[in-house]
Amino acid sequence: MDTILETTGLTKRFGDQCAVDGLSLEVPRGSIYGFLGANGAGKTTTLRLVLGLLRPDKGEIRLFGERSGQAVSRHRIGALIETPSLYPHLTGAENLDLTRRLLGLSRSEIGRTLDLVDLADAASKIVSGYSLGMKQRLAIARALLGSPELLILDEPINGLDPEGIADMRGLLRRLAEETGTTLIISTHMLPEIELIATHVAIMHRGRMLVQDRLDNLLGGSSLLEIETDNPEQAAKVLCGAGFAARTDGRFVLVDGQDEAGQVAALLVHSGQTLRHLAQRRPSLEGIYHRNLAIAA
Amino acid sequence: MLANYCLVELLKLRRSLALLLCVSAPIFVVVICMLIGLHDAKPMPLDRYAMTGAAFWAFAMLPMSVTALSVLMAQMEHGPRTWDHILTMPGARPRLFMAKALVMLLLVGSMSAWLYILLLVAARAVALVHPVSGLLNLTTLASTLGRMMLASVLMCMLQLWVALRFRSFVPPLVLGIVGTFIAVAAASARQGAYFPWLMPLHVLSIDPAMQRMALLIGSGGGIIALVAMMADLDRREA
Repeated sequence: MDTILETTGLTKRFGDQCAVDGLSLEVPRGSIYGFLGANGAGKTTTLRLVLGLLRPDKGEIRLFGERSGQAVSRHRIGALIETPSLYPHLTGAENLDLTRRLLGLSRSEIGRTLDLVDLADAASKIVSGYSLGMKQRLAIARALLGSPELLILDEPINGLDPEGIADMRGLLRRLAEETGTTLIISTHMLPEIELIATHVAIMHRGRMLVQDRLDNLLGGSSLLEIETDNPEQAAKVLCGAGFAARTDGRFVLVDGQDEAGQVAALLVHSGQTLRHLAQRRPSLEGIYHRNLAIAA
Repeated sequence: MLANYCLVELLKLRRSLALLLCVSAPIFVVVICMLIGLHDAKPMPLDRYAMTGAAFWAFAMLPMSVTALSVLMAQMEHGPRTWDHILTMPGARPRLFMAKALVMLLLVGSMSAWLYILLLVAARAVALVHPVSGLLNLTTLASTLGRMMLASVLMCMLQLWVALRFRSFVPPLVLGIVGTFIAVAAASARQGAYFPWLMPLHVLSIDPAMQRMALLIGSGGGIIALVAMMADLDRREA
């Protein structure tokens, strides 16, 4: 899998504050890249650097294998940064038409992208009358004009209701699967990213804490979750047999997932009443907080 | 490509307050001129009527309209934070700022043309209900308004520069108010001869040298200000 975006030692300071500190990012082509971090972690600054809205103090950005800033790469990127920045006095179609003209695309692109985000019915409605979800979708439609290879979405699900979030998730999945678009999604809504991302990066105070495939992160530390009538005793039995076991409320957690049969047999033989045994998949939220704790 | 950017800037004006301002500002000037003419029982001299309209325009309404227009055009981008989008367009920056400047000048030019038409129509309307004297010199009026427009380029560019540079509408508004106020105060002062906001008014001067200077500083200075504005805004981070 080749790399569509790569940054090396990217650094950006605002006065005394280092917003991005030696960031090395690697986004594989075709991935859905979840770019995570708390507010102020440096996500938006990084994306603004990538888009050429800010100039880095140090480091290099390579897009499509070229140094950033080349005009050709701008045609291949669609972006939505922070808020859906649209002209409220124009209709949805008129907003798209402005960008279409600047990109030199045919008029049919407007209908195509509005269909993609399911906004064709509202095309002739003035944008000031749109809901936030509609504005987000229109901004994504605008970013999709010209079928960019890389779509950068900064907080695309902020302010959406649960139905809007589900729609957005479906749209992003569809884009990645049907068009092969590489998506970089910056957000702090971890459960949503866990549902769609293939790769994840976690930023904290301008630095990269972790960057890997999501399944590597989630699969690397799977646990067995066990419920017995006496969790303390069960943990002692398992530790005595060489398992890394600990209690977590009413559960006993054991590192590793391949020894389920052995664990069950051991507990039954020791006289424990086994009520529940399942694999507990670590959540992205857990990984996020663990990495933040390590960084702290 | 620049033409494309200009067209996009024009299309953005649909249903905008900027367009409404361009239509309405000259109307106020003409209405005041008509009221002055009708107020006097004596026949209204048409040449004086036309020059009064041009003077009102140059002295007050043009600087105020340029202030409001620059603010409205810039706030169209600052308000919904569209810079983030348009500045990521291929080759956007220099063309975008140049297009904004050209469209602003086009709008100021259109306001001048609209004022010209309104003054003619109003003169005919007044003639139906009130005695008039003399003839309306159409060529002189067109030439005066055209030269006023050229002399206002520096003022337009300074206003637009400040309006685009600051996210808040306050700095360009303050600049416009202070500029217009100083123009009123310094209109007859020797030091006011080079003040950008007075260049359109100097077009009405009886001194041909003053007229030439107003055109030179207004339009030549405007081009220099445009280049400086583009260089400055191009360097800035969004």
